[in-house]
Amino acid sequence: MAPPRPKKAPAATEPWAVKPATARALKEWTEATTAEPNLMTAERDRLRARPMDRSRNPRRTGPLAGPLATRRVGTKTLPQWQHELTAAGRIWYCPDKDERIVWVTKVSLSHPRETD
Amino acid sequence: MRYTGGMRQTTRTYQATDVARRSREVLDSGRAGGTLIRDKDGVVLLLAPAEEVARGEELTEVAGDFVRLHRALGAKSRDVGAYGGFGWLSVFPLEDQRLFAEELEGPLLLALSGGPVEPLRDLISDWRATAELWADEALRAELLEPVDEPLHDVTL
Repeated sequence: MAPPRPKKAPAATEPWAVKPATARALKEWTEATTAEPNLMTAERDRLRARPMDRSRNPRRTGPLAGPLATRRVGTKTLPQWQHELTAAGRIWYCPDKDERIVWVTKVSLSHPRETD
Repeated sequence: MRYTGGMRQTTRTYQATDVARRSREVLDSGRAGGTLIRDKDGVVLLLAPAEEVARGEELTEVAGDFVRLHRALGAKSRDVGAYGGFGWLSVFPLEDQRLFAEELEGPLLLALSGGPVEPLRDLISDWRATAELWADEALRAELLEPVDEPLHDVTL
């Protein structure tokens, strides 16, 4: 039997697939979409087109650093990013450049506790 | 002679009377880089793009905090104040604080050498955003947790 063909990597021009990493992330995304449909539609479009482009607003979009810089998703260790949806809202995701999949790991419309 | 650290040298010096008589030339010189204007009492003024001066002030501040950070990391005990402008870094374990110091060095030297300052700003911004998350124990645990079986079949 012939070995399975290696899966062809998606072309760099194709939009990214945006997927929830966990059932919890799916629930959070769905709730956020119900609460803020326009915001979340725009966010989905951003993630599909340019999840790692921070040129438009470098202080609102960026990779996490240090101990939160990466996260294991399935068998891969991927970079972990954060985007400020609003002053209070955040979304976290792990882009897989090889598969062109954005794994959404968490969505929150309330702000994490500020450091002093 | 004062230490300049290899920073750009000013190339033109004008007299106070030149400001009125050769205003366009003086302004163009100032726009091109640092220009000195010697006032009638001998005080020398600097004419330079505000952006360059602000950049210099920003880098001086970061470089000072970098030195404070190294002192803090080398101390036996440290409080938040010892970190200067990097006080937010104290929420991390010591090994991550050291990692930040290592990562900061390259972009800081690049910016101090006249290179782009954006990599430095991005690095500090990314670490600071991470510190906010790290300080929240529940959120930290969530963001550290491996995802064993991601939902391949669901598309948002």
